[in-house]
Amino acid sequence: MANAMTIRPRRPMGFWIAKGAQYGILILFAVFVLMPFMWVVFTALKSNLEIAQEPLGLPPNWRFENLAQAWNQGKFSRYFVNSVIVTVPIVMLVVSLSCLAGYALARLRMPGRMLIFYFFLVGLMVPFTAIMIPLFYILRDIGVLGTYWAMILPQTAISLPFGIFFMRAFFSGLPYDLTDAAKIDGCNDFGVFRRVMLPLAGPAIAALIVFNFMGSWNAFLLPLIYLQSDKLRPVMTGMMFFTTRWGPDYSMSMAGTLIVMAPIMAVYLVFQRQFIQGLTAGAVRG
Amino acid sequence: MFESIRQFFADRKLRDYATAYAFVIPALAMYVIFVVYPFFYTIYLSLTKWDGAKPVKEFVGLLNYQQLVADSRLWSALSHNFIWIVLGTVAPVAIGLFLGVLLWRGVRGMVFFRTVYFLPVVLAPVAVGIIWKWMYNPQFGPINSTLRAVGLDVLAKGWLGDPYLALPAIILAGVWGYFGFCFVVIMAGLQNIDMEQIDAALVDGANGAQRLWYVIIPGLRHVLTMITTFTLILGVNVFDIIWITTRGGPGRATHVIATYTYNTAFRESYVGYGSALAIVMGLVSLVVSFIFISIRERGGD
Amino acid sequence: MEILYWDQVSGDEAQAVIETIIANFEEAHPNIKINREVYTLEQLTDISRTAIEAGEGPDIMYYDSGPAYGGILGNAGLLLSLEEAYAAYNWDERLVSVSRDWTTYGGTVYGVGHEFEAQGLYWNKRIFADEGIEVPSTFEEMVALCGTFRELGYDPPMAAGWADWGGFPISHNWYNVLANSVPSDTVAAAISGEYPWNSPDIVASLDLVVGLVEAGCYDEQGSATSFLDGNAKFYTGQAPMMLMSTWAMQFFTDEITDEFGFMILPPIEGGEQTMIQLMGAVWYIIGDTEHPEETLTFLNYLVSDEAIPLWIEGAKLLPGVTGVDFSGYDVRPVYSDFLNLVSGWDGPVGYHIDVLTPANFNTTLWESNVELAAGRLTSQEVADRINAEMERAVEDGRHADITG
Repeated sequence: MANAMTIRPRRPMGFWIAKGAQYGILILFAVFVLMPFMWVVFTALKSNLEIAQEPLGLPPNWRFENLAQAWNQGKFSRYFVNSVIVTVPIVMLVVSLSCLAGYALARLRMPGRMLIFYFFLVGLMVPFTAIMIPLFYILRDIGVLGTYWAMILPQTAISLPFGIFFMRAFFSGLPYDLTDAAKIDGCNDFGVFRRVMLPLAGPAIAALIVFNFMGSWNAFLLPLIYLQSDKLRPVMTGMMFFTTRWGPDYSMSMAGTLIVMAPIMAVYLVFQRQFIQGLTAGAVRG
Repeated sequence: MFESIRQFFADRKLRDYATAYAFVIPALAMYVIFVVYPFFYTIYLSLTKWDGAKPVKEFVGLLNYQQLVADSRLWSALSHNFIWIVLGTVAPVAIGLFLGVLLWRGVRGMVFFRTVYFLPVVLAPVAVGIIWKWMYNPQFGPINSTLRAVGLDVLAKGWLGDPYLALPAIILAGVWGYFGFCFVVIMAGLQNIDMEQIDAALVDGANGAQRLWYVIIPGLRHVLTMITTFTLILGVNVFDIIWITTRGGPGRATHVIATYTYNTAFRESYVGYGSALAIVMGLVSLVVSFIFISIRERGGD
Repeated sequence: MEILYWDQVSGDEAQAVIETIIANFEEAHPNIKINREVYTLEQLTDISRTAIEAGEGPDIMYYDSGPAYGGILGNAGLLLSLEEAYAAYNWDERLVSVSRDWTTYGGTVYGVGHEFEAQGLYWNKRIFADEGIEVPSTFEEMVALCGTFRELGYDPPMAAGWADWGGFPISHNWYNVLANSVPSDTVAAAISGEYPWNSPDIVASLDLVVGLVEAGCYDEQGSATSFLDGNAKFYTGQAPMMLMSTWAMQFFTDEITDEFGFMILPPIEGGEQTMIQLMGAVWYIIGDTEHPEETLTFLNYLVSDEAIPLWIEGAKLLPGVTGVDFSGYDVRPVYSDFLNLVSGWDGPVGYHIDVLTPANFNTTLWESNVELAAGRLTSQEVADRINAEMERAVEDGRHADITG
C-alpha cells in the first residue's frame, strides 16, 4: 500500500506548489469558458455608444430595457412557442418509436432481425446534408411544407437510428429471467414490454429525452431549409435572422442572443446531472 | 383468404412474429420514407442537371462527378473538413485528458468545475457562433479590446477576416463549445481504471508521462474511440457555426463540404451538382465510419 | 385581408419612411393590412426560392434585379408576370425605362424598379478642407491620396468592409474601375458570354484593384469588418473617402454634421469616365399570391405621387420614376449634387456587374476578389476562374444576353 498518502508528507512545499498549480489550471479553464458568457451579458446591457467607449468593462448603466426591446423587436415569444410546438412531438415520437423498435430488435424473435438492425445502423452514417436536397421536394409533394410537420417528420426520422441503437443496447442488457417470469404469468409480448421492461427503462428514456430535446431545440440547418415562414420559425433560426438583421447594433444582437441562451442554461443548471447523463449517454454507454 | 389469416394468427410462432414486426414497422416506415428514400433520390438527382424548377431533370450520367474531380472548391472544402477533424479531435481530447487527470482523484469544487466545463455543450452551435463572432469582432470585440488594453496592439487581428487565421479561429470556438463533453466522458472512463495499476506503476518508479502512456491511455482506449467517433462525425458535418461566423469566407478559406453543398443547391440553384456534392459527403462519412469501426473491432479484442 | 411584404430596407430613416407609406396606404384602403418582415439581401437569397416553392413566401418582395436574384425566381415560374400591369397602370410612361429592361427574364417583365443608383467616389468635405487637399481629378491622383491621408494619420483612407455579403463590397470597387478602363460595349459582351473574362484588358482592371490595396487605401482589417461597420467609418469622419453607390446616402443622418461630396469615379489614364447606373432593388409580386389585385394596388401606391416625396426627402432614395422635379426638395447638398449629376449626365454609362451575371459567377467573383485583395490569387487567376464560371452558365443558359 505505497499510496500517495505516504509519499505526500515528505515534500510539503512541493505538494502545495503542485496543489496551487492544479487549481490555477482548473480555474484558468473555467475562466476561458465563462468569459465569453460574461461579455455577452455586458454587451447586451450597454448602449452602442457605451460599447464603443468601453467594450470590456461592466455596463456603466445596466440597461435591462435592452432585453425588453429585443424581445419585442425580435418576436421571440413566437419563436419560443414554435420551438416548443416542434420539439415536443419530435421527442415523443422518437422516444416511443425507438423504445418499441429497440425492444423488438433486442428481445423478440423474428426473421431478419439483425438485417433490420443493420439497416437502421447505416442511418447513423448518413449525414443530413446527403438527404437535405430531395427531402425538400418530397416534403413539398406530400404537402407538409408550410406546416410544423415539415420539421417534425424529418427530424424524427433522422433521430431514429441513434434512438433505436441506444434503446436496443439498453434492453439487451436486461436479464432474461425477468421476462420469462412474466411470460409464465401469462403476459403477451406487449404486456411484457409495457409492464416489465418499460418501467426499468426510466433512466435510459430520460437520457434519450434530453438527447433528442437538445438535438431538435438546437437544430439549425433543417428549419433553415424547411421552416422558412416567420410564423413557423423556431428560436435558433429566429435568433440568426435577428442578429444578422441588427448586424452593427451589437447591443441588440447580443440581447437577442442572451434571450435565447438564458432559458436553456437555467434549465441546465437545475438539472445538470440529467443533462450531462443524457448528452453523454451515447458515448459512455455505446 | 380469411381462413388463412385466421390460421396465421392461430399459429403462435407466426403471431409472435407479427407482434415483433408491429413493434418495428412504425419506426421503419418513418426511416424509409424520410431517410432511405431521399438518399437514393439524392443519388438520382446527382446524375441529372436540374435547376430545381424546370419540369424536366436532364439525365447526364456521371457528368457531375467528372466535374467534381476538377473542382478546386470541393478539394479546398474537403481539406478544411480534414483540418477540422484533426484539430477538432486532438485539442478537446488533449484538454479533456489533461483536466480529467487533474481532477481524477477528487478535488474540492469538483462539481463546480464539471458544471462550468460542460456549460457550453448545452448551447446550440448557432449560439456558439454568434458569441464568438462577437469575441472576434475587430473593432470592439473583447479579444482585440483586451489585447489593446494591455498594450499588445500588434496582436489585435482581424481574426475571422484573415484567410490563415479564420479556420483555426472558428475551430477554437467549436472546441470551446464541446471540449466539456470530451472532458466528462473521459472522467467517466477514468473512474473505471484500476487504481492498483497506477499505484503499482508508482512503485516501479514510473514518471507521470509513463503512467499516462502505459496505464491511463490504454485504460481509456474505449472511451477515446467513442470521443473520436463523435468528433469525426462533427468534423464531417460541420455547418452551423461556419455559416454564422464567416459563411465560408474570407474567399474560400473556411468553406467546408456542407456549406459548399448548401450554397450550390439552394443559393445558386445547381440542384444536380449540389446532389453530387451531397453524395461525396455521404461517401466521406461512410468511409470515415467504416475505417473507424474496423479500428475499433481490431482494438476491441 | 393581409398582404405579406418581405422588405430589405436597411437605414433607420428609410425604415421610418416605408412604415409611413404603409400606414398611409392602410388608411386609404382599410380592408388591406400590410404585414412587413425585414430581411437582408443575403437572407432573401437564402430563403426566397425555397420558401416560395413551399408556399411559404410573401405576396410581394423587395429584392434585387438580375439573373442571380429575381431572374432565378422568374425563370422558375415563381413570379407574377407584370405585362398587364405595366399596360394597366401605364408604368412604361411613368417609370424609367431600365425598370422594365432590368426586370425582364425570358421575355417577361416581372418587376418594378426602385432606388436608382450610381457608383462613385464620396469624400468628406470637412477633412479635405482642414487638410488643404484638392479633390482628385484622375484615378491616379485618387490612389496617391491614399498615401497622403495615411501619412496624416487617417486610417483607413477609404472606408470599406467585406467580411460579410460573400465579400462583394470590394468587387463593387472593381466594377467601377472596370467601367472606367474597359469600354461598355466590351463589358456588355462579356456579361452576355461573348467576350472572355480573362482577356488582358479585364485582367489589367483587376490589377488596378490590387493597386488600391497596395497603396494602402483600405482598412487593414477590411476583410474582418462587416460591410455596414466598414462604411460607418466614412460617416463618422474616420475615413476621408469611400467608393460606394449612392445607396449609402440614406445613412447620412441628421446627427452627422460633416458635409460630403460625390462624383463619378475619376477617369483612369487611357480610359473614359463612365457612370455605373443600377436599379438598387425591385418589387416583385409572387406568382401564387392569393390577392394579386390588392398587391398590385399596393405596388402602384409605392411608386405613386403620394409616396415619391417621402422616398426622396425621408429615405434619400432616387425613385425610378420619370419627370420628377427635384428642385423643390429639401435635401442635403450632396444628394442634390447627385440628382443634378444624373439628370445632366451625357457621358458613357457602365454596368454594375453582379445584377446582370448569374449566381455561380457572382459567388466565384466575390470569393476570388477577396483572395485577390489578400494576395492569395493573381489577377490572371481570378479572371480565369470567373471566365470558367461564365462558360458554365452559358452552357446551361443561365446568363443574360444584353447585347441585342
